[in-house]
Amino acid sequence: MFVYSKDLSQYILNPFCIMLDDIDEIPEGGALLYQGSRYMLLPPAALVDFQKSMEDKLGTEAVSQALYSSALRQGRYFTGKVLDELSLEPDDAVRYMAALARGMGWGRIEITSLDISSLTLELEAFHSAFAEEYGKAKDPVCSFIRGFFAGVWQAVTGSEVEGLEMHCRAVEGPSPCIFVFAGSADRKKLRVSISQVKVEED
Amino acid sequence: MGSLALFNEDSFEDEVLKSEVPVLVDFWAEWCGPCKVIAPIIEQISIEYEGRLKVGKLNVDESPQVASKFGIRGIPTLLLFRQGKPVEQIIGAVPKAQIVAKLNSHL
Repeated sequence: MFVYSKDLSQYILNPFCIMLDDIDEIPEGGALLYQGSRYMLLPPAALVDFQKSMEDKLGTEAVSQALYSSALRQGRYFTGKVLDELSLEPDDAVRYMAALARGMGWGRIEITSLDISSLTLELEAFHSAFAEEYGKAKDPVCSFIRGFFAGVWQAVTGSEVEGLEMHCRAVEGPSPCIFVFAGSADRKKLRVSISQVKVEED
Repeated sequence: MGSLALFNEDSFEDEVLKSEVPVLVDFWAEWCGPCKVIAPIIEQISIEYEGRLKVGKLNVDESPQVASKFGIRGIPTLLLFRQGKPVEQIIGAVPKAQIVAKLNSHL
């Protein structure tokens, strides 16, 4: 259960320190709890090594899809809990989840555009743990972040959405990773530039 | 407490498609924010229309085949069934007055 009761703006400014206050170890030791759920500290190298090992066996596209799908379910689940227990407005729920991701060290997630009526959300991830750990890649590698925020956006809007990583540090070099999320129905029509989503005319 | 029903893939045909009274189905999921907004309205409608309308919820994660069959792409979606066929669709967390107006046009 979420027990968060601090001011949202303070949380967004400094999520890591506030999260640390809320992390407990169970009395007998061996399990860390944050807001009632079990967590463990894991270096990104462990996840990225697993990702690369799976890519060797299954191919990058299959692994990207698997990471995306599982992260989407996680994003949906946690956002649902946040909406339920913290009574946040939809845009604040996205900000909260971005702060949570930052606090967990995935990267500093900045919301560059958010419009519920058009189902579009754009994010930038500075210092993506996945991209920085992966090294040079041919295709975007932040599938977990992409899936997680697709789930966040799906929970907030109630609509099927798709997430694209338009720009990845692992592909393009030092710069933020850029993500765009939009309704699935518009997927084929999306023509995306770095800073805006344009829907093509039929 | 109203008579809000819980539908699933096993019960859908008997309780919705073969129902003698019209049925309002709220397609929803635990994680969906807009579904939480509309839930109390659906509860109220189940009370206010008791005897004239069967009202129930269907979890799209637990019954994906039903959701897919009726082309549910966003939730909440309300479908009104009469004699086994969907006759009205309302998508999103819309105000109660809008839902009631559409229901009344079919009852």
